[in-house]
Amino acid sequence: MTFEPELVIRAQAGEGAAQEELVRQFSPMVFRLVSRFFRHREDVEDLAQDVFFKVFTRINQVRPDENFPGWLRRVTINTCYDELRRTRRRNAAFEIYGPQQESEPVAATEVLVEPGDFGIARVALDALDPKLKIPLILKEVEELSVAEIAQSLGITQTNVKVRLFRARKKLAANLAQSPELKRP
Amino acid sequence: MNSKLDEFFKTERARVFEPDPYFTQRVMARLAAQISVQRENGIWDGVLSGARPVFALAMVLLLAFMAIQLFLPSMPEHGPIDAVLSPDQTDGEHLIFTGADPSSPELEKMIIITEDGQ
Repeated sequence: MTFEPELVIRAQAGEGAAQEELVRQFSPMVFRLVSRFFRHREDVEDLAQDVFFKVFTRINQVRPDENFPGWLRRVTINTCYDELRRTRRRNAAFEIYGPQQESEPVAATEVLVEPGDFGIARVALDALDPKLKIPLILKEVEELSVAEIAQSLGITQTNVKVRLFRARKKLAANLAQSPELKRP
Repeated sequence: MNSKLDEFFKTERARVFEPDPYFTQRVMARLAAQISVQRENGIWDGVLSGARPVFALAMVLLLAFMAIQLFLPSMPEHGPIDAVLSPDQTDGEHLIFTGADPSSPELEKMIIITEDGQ
């Protein structure tokens, strides 16, 4: 299916059919991107809806000559970034103010044991700051180039490289701290 | 460890959710609902959410002031006490109460008569 830039112009004019067509064409891409950062279908669906909602409320900001799919990817990543930050803040607050655990805390790896020790890798990846996690996932999972990541995040390529370096270093440190790996 | 991580990223690549057939309809319904809400709350959308209580209070005060202006009778210029007393005051007494200087000999005479009468 090829994308027609005219669809954006029609959607900017408020034509419902054009907006519907844009959602139909780009929802698989948005779902795929959001799936990279969130593991539950409900979260992915909610965020994908938020993305399209933002897209149509700001669609007049898109110039006719602008790369719409690129702009949409930027909106999607920004929405994911905001949600990851919110989740991180919520979790931090819950750890401080939430109910105290009476029993011994269960190691995350015991809960998330998956074939091939991926539970450990997942916990280590989720522990990364969203600023580091997003470029790493875009590079390693989404397989974007440094230039594409820089464009999507609105930062310089040097900045992307620095973040990728820090993300890998921090991920390695998180993995090294994992009790599963410390076992002789 | 790196090979394991590569394997992990590979499985992450495969983990993708697809939109269900009704996703587009849900998005369009949410958009339509939001547009109708925006139409209902048009005046409030122009105000920052943090400033809304202040704006609401200012509007209530303004309306209250307008209502007071509309329903309360206008006060006489010479004050409420004067307004109550004025029907019983002679011209001379009025001049004494207001403290005005008599500008003519007739008025001065009137004052003297008033004071003598008391």
